[in-house]
Amino acid sequence: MGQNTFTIVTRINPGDLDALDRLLSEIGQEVEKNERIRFVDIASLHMAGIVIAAQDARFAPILIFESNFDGNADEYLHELVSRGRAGIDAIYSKCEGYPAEAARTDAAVVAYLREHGQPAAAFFVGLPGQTVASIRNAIAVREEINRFLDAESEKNSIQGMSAVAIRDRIVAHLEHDSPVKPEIPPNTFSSYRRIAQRNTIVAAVAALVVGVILFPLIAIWILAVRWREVHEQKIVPQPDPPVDAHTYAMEDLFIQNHLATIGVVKDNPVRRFSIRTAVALTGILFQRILLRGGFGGVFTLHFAHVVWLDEGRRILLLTGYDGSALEYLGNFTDTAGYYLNGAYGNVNNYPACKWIIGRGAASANGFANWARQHMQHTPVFYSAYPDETVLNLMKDLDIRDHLSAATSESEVARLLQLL
Amino acid sequence: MSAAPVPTLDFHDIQGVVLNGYGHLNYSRFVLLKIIDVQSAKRWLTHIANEISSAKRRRGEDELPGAQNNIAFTRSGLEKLGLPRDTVAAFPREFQMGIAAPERSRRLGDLGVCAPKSWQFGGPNTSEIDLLVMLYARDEAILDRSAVNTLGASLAANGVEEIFRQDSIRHSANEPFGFRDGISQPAIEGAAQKVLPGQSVIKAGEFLLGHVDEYGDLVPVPAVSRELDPDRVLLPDPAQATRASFGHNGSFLVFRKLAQDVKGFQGFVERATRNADGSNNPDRAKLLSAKMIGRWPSGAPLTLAPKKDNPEIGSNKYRNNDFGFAATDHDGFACPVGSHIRRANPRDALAFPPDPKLSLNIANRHRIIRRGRPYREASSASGDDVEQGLLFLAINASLVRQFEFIQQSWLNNPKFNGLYDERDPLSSAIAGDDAMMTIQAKPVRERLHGLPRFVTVRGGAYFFLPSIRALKFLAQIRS
Repeated sequence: MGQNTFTIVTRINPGDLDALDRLLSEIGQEVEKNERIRFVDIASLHMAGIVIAAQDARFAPILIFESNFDGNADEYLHELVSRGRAGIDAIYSKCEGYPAEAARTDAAVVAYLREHGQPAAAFFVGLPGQTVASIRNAIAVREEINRFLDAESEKNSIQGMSAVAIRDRIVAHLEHDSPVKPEIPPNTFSSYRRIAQRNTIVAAVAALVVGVILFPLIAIWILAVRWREVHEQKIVPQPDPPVDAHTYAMEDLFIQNHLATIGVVKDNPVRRFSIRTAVALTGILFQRILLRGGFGGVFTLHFAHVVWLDEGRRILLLTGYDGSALEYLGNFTDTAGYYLNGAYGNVNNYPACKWIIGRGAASANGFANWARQHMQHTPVFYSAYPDETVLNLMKDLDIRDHLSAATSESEVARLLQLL
Repeated sequence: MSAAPVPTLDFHDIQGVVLNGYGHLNYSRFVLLKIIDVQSAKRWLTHIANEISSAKRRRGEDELPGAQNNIAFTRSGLEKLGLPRDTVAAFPREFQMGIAAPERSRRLGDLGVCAPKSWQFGGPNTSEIDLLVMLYARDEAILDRSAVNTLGASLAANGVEEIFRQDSIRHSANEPFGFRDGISQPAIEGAAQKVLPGQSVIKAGEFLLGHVDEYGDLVPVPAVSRELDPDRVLLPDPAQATRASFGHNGSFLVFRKLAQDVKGFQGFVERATRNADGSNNPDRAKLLSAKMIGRWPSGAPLTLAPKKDNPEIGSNKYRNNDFGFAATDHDGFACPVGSHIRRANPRDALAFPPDPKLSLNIANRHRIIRRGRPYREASSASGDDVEQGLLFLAINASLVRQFEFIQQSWLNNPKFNGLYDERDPLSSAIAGDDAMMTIQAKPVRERLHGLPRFVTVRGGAYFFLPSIRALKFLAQIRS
């Protein structure tokens, strides 16, 4: 069972913006305890965020409800409505087109949410194939192993033992004494390495073939974009442009955080074609090749996806990431800007790119300023495992899935060193 | 084609403390002032502007001076002296907010007992700070003379009021916990300084405004209208012909008073390393404290001296900083991943990207120049109970990307470099948590539980350290 994403985009009723913000802030205040939407009771839900996008006066204020979950969207929506009908009613009665109270059955509510769903143009999953239950089990197994080792250390009972001998003690403990049992899924996280390798070869061959066949067209496209890069009006860098105080105050609150940005696509056919192409290619990379926890130096992303707004005039990027905003944005600047530049070089006010993928996000100040000026307010953010980073979980899955089966002293030692 | 030569910095325009730690001046005084009469304060600043030390006196050029003075301003200080509102607004957000703002406290970990509300200065319950005068001298008599020369006989006559003062005497190279301090400093490109083995040469724009930084960017600096500078004291703003660059060759200074619980540190280490029969084990205690710091008391890094202290390495500036973690200690078996020095500067061993060269490049985008000085004071009437600690001074061009980043993403980050739930073992324990440190070992890690907080923040402020030109402009600016 793979992870899925569903994003509901609705217009906020004129006059209801402030009330909606208050309501969502109340829900988000202690999101795990809130009674309006019982996110914690939705077993398939990895991560959810509710975003108010109302900063750009050229566009009507919208509400964006992002969910990342196991299984299919229909099952998830029914679960969401059954666990959070009160909250859904309170929220969406402040949005356009929500069924009148008399007609507001669960089925009608699900239909409304489905009708306002926007497909993901590109969807990245940090830990592909790993269900909420599997991830929670891996966390619990690691915690249990640590408890066991701390207790054994206290008794000096593992001093001088080999890695394999210690591992055997751990396995015996998990089998006989532990309330937590490893539940290794058929599709382990490490099995995606082989899938990624195979897909990389297929993609390279396909790219070569397509590149040769379409070489003249590709060359013309690259030159057309380069011409625009050179001749478009340059953004004058600012030391520290103003940001939305409301949004800024929500930065870096937790181990995991949420970032939603909306960019306006440059009003030019070359730019529109370029961004569509770049997002489509990125979507293929995300789904087929980047299956190993991250890309470049970015190993902090749990989920990310792109949604087109206003018939492609705007691009929405929703991400759930680890650590501080500055560190997260800095990861792109330092090592992975080219993953963004191909698409975002076609967006207004983005720092200037060179030959489509160069510079852009590599300009630390320009990129951070762009992100800060285009980020949207996320009053509600939920994670099923809020205290764990992608790096933590990659290690947890490695330990749980391989510790008992490892045979050599060196492989067992490698796994124990992850603790 | 050979690379373009690096232009030498204008030493006459840069305040001395940026490029020089005044290692030969062991006596220092830090005086925090509030402006109470703007015109008098301007006259005083005009008078002392020529006394403020630039970086021009450099080793080998002149005889080392017996005293050096530097000065820095908070946002309120700049405003009171009449810097135009649009220029102040062009300063970075974090400087404008000030270090005690809740948004900054959250990022810096200044919570609980370290929260600004209980600070001795710089917090919401203490007087506003406008400027900081830093006096350095060879001995106490020179320091006192320098203080009189700079501050005058009467502060009130100079239009300022003393908010806080802290003296420092440096008796050795060691900080209060007993470890050699100030070893790992970056070298600045264009500063014409000798680069030591292991020392990274960092672009001047990381420490001085108006210069290219490690990203290759020339970040815009606060500027003023040319009309406000008829005497052309300031340099032209390269980005706007009608404006003059106020920020050029300036920098940002972090000033924090950090109390260190030396007895608590020693007691914790002693208790944690006792033998089974309850007797002390001094060797294990030394090793554990070194594991927490990442260096031995002599300054020898664990990466080069993993088993026992090596004073020969520790005291040798050509050896004590000449190491990385990636090649020989990637997994932290010698110097733990969560140790203080590894968190403060992970060098070439960031978990991602797992490329030592790239990691070092990234780490070098988050460096600070440290100019800390120890302090020691009687904290009770009897004088028996002594508080000691560090006056932490850090210089950087971006408070948020350098000082705050180190504090937030490395020192305080419970998930630093793939760790699970632990913070800097010296400074970041949060009361009520089971503060913990993992000490990587073969075949399996050890974990140190119940770490108390050993460092408490007593006060702090963010300052702008203007260039000599900007200081002269500020003193004469017409409101």
